[in-house]
Amino acid sequence: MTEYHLIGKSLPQIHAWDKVTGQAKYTDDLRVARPLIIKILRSPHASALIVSIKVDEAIKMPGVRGTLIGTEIKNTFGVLPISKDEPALAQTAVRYVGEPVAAVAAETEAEALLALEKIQVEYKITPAVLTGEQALLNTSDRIHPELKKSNNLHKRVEQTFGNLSEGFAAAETMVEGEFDFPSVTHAFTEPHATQVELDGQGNVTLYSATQVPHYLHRALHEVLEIPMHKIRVVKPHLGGGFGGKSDPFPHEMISAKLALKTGRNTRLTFTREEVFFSHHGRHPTKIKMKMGVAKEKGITALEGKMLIDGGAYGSFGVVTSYYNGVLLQGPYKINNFAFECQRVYTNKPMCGAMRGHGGVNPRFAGEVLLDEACEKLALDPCEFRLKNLHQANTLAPNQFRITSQGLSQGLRRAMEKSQWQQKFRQLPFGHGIGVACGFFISGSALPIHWNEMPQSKVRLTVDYDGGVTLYSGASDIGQGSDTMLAQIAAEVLGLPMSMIKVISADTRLTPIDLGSYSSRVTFMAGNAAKNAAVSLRRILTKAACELWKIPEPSYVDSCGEFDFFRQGNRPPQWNKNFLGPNVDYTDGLEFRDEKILYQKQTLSYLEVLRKALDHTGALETSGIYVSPKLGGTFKGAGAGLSPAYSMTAFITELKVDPETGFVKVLKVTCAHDCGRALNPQAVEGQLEGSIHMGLGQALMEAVTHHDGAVMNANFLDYKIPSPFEMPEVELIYDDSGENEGPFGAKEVGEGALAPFIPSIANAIYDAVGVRLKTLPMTPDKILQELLKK
Amino acid sequence: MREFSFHRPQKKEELVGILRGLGQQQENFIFYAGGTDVSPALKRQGNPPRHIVFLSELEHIKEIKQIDTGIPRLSIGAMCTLEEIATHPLVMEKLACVGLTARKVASPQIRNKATIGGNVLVDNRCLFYNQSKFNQDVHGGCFKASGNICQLVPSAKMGDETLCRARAVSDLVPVLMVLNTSLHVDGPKGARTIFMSAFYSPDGISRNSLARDEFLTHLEVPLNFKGRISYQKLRIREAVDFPSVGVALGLFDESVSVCITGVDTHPHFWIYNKSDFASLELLAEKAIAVAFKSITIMKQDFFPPSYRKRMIGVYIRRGLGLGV
Repeated sequence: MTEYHLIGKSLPQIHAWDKVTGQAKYTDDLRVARPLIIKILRSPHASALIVSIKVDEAIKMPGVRGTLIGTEIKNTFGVLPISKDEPALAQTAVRYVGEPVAAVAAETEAEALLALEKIQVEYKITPAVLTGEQALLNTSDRIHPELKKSNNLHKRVEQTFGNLSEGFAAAETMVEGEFDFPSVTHAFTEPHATQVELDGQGNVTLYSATQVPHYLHRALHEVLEIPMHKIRVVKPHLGGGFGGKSDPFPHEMISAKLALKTGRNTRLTFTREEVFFSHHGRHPTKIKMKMGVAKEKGITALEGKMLIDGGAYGSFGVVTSYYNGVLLQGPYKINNFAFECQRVYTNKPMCGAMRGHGGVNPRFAGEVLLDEACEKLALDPCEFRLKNLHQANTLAPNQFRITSQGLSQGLRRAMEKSQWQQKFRQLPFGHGIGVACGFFISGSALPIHWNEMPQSKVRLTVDYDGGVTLYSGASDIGQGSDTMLAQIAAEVLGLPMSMIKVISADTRLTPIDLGSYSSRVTFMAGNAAKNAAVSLRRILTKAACELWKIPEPSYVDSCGEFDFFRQGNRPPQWNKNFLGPNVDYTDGLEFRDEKILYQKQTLSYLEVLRKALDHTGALETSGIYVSPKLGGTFKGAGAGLSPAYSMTAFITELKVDPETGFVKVLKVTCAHDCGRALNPQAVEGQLEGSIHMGLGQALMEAVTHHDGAVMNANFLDYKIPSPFEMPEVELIYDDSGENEGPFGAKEVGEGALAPFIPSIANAIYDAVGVRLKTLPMTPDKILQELLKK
Repeated sequence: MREFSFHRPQKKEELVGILRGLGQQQENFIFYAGGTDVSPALKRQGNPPRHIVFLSELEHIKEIKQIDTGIPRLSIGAMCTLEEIATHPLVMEKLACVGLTARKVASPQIRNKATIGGNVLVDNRCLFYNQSKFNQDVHGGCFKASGNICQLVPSAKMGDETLCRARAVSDLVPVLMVLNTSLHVDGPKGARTIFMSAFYSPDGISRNSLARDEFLTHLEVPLNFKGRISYQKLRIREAVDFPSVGVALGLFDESVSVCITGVDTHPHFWIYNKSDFASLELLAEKAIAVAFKSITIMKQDFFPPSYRKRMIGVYIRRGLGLGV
């Protein structure tokens, strides 16, 4: 394995010092000049027609400079082009408790709140649809009558591969179950916040806590009906997203519109309750799943029917619908496979993308059923999984191209470290161990908006002072993408991290990156950064060779044939501007410690740089990333397509108190195939965070409602685990030889969460013989099952 | 939030004067000790009181000392923080159960501010009451929020002995009650002493017999007991959460005291003489049966009522050293 100077080293985030000393500026910390404070009036009803809205009395209140109602901002929007169904402010109807209905901009917060009380809204309450099952019934009470359906179905997707009947006929055992999952929320630390700044030429700058500056930019243009070049979106430091900030939002539209209407800068920060109203969390889900298993043939058939409750609007829901099924095509070989997923609208805050996006709940169902099947066949569940994993460089039935696969090695190491063979089914009553595996994308190979643009572009500039400025549209949402980009550029150029200055997520300054979602940033923006850095390195190499008076090295055409698996063995068809995935920059020279070395000669970086500046002045290079053409031609073939997949194994050991049903997770052994860990500290942070989040969903988290109103919209009542619940953690992340990720990296932000949850369920079964099919697995549910025995 | 008038008395006489004045003007006011319970409530209320009377600068109500005249007892000032109590050498030596229970409350950050006086007087909580004003209005409010309905028991009406079902949530109260603690209060009408066992009332709004203008100065906990005190707390997390059930047990030479919190509008307290029972097992059975019969558990918590009820039994047995 190549030894790198920075790659593979644990590095603190480049913003770490700013963050821990309180100097980092999050959106709410910014100070635009003389801002008006915006407060939003929200619907108290889950479902109602708006008969009238009167703002006259509000406008007269002291300090009020403007109001806004839905008829003034009519265009609807949504992150997916096929689901632009959300208004900035409700116009003719309200669809959930908490939906924005009107807004006030005033000199102070207190004045804005007082003015809100003066807005008079007359509602005609209509019957609310509050459950997924209710939503499927034919009704005239349709939440989106414009869809012209007879019920509240938003989207139905299905896929079938192979022959299910034959698959089930070949099974030696069949297992099935019905699973039930409530909604959970991201619970990021930083509430949504927005500030808007105007200039004298009608340009609008929106600072917002967003994961998706580019999509927000597009949505603002469509809703405000002003040219995109007059809108600038900037993402300041951001305190956690996990998918909860990966849509354009009503409050962003409202903030911008009120700024334009009043001619004043504006600011808006959500209360925690408003964050819960915004939601975009995991869909409440019901799953019926059936699995056929045979000792030698593996999983002979898998069939899943999912019903996901999308809340009032579309968000990422169509994608979620697909991900509920397609991600089950890994990590195991399943040739006979079918799923159907229905997403429905209900009168609740909308659901969207949340870490693991659609793959988490079905993963639970599949891994629990697999555990059950292994028991019936008297098979070791780890050994069975090892025998039936996809191998490297294979195609799944749905045409997912599996490149590197480090799960086999990872699971074996996890078995050894957890003492699986000594413990499984051998621990005393109340003490158990369980396993589960997972599979996730490293970014979607297809963009949301159909186009031929690169999925990420990074620009580098360097001038006389030698500092390299890296421009990327990628959003650092706390996961450390700025650090990753700096690390890659610094590695290629042989410079310390401190010489790479990252400017990111500013649509005026940085080239488009599609955003921080679907675990795409390291793979895609990282590749683009590497391409840009290699281009700059080649310029510096040329200058060094001129100084040494030696010929330049010749470079292999990076877009030629590669020694990695191509789908259907068709030759790669790369964009001509793309140097190549994970481009090799071997050129005979060594760049390190601000020096360039060749044989016994050394030049300083600055010396070479200044030679390179001779004829052109400041140097500028760029790099792009473009996914290879992948996938089949059937409906939904694009869903879940990715240039590489991560895979994870969890072995969890826990105790269950049989008198109270309380679960104490003792130790978690997690083997996550992220290709190569560019920054072990960052990888461990993501895995530990996934464990914490998975623990919460497994044991205690659920958004609760009463008549459509969220009842636990705070962190006292919405239970995220405290530090005392966290178990001992052992992490394994060996290099799996990935060819296409930058320096071999794949994702680590999302994939680990899903399998952790069923590993807990399977460990509970090993401990006390109780197999739960609903989350969270609270003590009362476990005890109830124990008492039945 | 609205505008407030702040009062910061340093001497008791000054405080009494302020209270008399506010009473005469019929002004609404609220006491503010550590603020960990009061502050969120003020933010939530649509029409909070205008006057805030801070107790943080009052002399002589922050001391912990042993009094040896008469029955030896530990005097704990009402303004002592929970963190001070959890780490005070005298408390940990003489009343370790109190210190250990204080450590089970909330989190270190909250315990640094929260006071023992505030804890024994903490407001009752309910799923429908402890919400934002927006959420309260969505459901039509409730008696405790100055409305005219109980969301848990819609048939409740003014004049009922229990109008409001908001539950008592103090962790320290059951332990202090088992220890036969007395509360020492003062106010414009003079000082008085109340035994904790007679202090709490069965309504989630009125909660206790403290007059509007009375304030707690200190608690006195007798030290002349021989036995073992335990407190078991049901909560889904090992930090932050209020008790879904809290059971304090005092296992003394001749009696067993049981106090249960977290499930009803007030703590329930019983004393059983061991001599009335042939075995501890039979005493446990009786204690559990009485608890089940006496306590009304509403659906207003993370755990379902049936589970909380069952845990009462489990904790009583465990507190008595019996298996389940």
